[in-house]
Amino acid sequence: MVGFVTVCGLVIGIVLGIVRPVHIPAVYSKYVGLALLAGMDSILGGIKGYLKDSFDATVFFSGFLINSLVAALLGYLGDQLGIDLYLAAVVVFGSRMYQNIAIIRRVLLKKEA
Amino acid sequence: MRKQATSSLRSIVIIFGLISLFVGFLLPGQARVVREMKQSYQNEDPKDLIRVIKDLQQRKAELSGEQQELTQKVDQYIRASDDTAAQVKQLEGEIAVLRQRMGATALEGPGIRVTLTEQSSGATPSILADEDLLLLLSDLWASGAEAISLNGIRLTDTTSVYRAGLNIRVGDKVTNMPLVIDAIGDAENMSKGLQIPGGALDLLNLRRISAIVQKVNPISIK
Repeated sequence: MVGFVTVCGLVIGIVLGIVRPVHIPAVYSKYVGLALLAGMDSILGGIKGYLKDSFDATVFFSGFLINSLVAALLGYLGDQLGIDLYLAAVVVFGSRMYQNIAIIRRVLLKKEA
Repeated sequence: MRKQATSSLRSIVIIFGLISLFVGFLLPGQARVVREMKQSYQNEDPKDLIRVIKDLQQRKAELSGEQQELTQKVDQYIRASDDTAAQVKQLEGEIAVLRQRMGATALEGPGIRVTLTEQSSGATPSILADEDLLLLLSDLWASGAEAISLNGIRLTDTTSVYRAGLNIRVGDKVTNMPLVIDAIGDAENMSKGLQIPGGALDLLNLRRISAIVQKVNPISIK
């Protein structure tokens, strides 16, 4: 149910984004990209938590906000310091996404079995 | 417990729905910006950019040269067409004059009227001779007459005028005395031209042909 709603929400959001595109200034596109990456990781983490009956709405929502902000900030800080700090966010959230997907897959397969 | 679980599930679903909606909404915008940035030069290697600039500068120089050539060509064409236009205008003017002299166009304007009357009194009646009439007409043409008519018959360059007995033949038409000669042109010039010593009027006077010159405005000759 939650997975279905999440996928629907994503699809509807994408369709809305195509129909009524939001204008993101090119200067900030990098930070928005990092924030979106963190957001997607949070969604997958939330689904994982729900499937494992350990979901906490407060943790989920705060995690979504804070992680997105931190990812964007890391990117911005890295640009100011002249180092690719954004890579840290990419590696961390990327690998977390992989882990969450793996766990979700295992839980779903176990449930079916 | 069950009610709490249901409401808890509902709130979880709502949260997931909203957050995934938000993330989904931002994704196309982000993709579009990245696509636009790729199409621009912001993220290119400086060496590539320098090469692009050099290519563009060379292309610009070539196009400037081409543009100059074409501008010169256009100027030439304009000058040629101006000349052509001037020639055409001149020819049109000449055609208009010729049409007038051919009698093809009706004219109206200031001019003079010469009325010739033979005198039948006296020992010998005076008769207007061909040469006298022709002299008068050529004096009028020479003084700037643009059109001449004899008793309403238009004279052209090729109209023959001669005496045939009592009649006067003007081209293929016949008329007789008295003769009213209308001439459109500079009235002053034409009347002075007629009055020169030894000119047509003097001769007509000698021949006892009465010639009355009047300045008329306008004269209409068809």
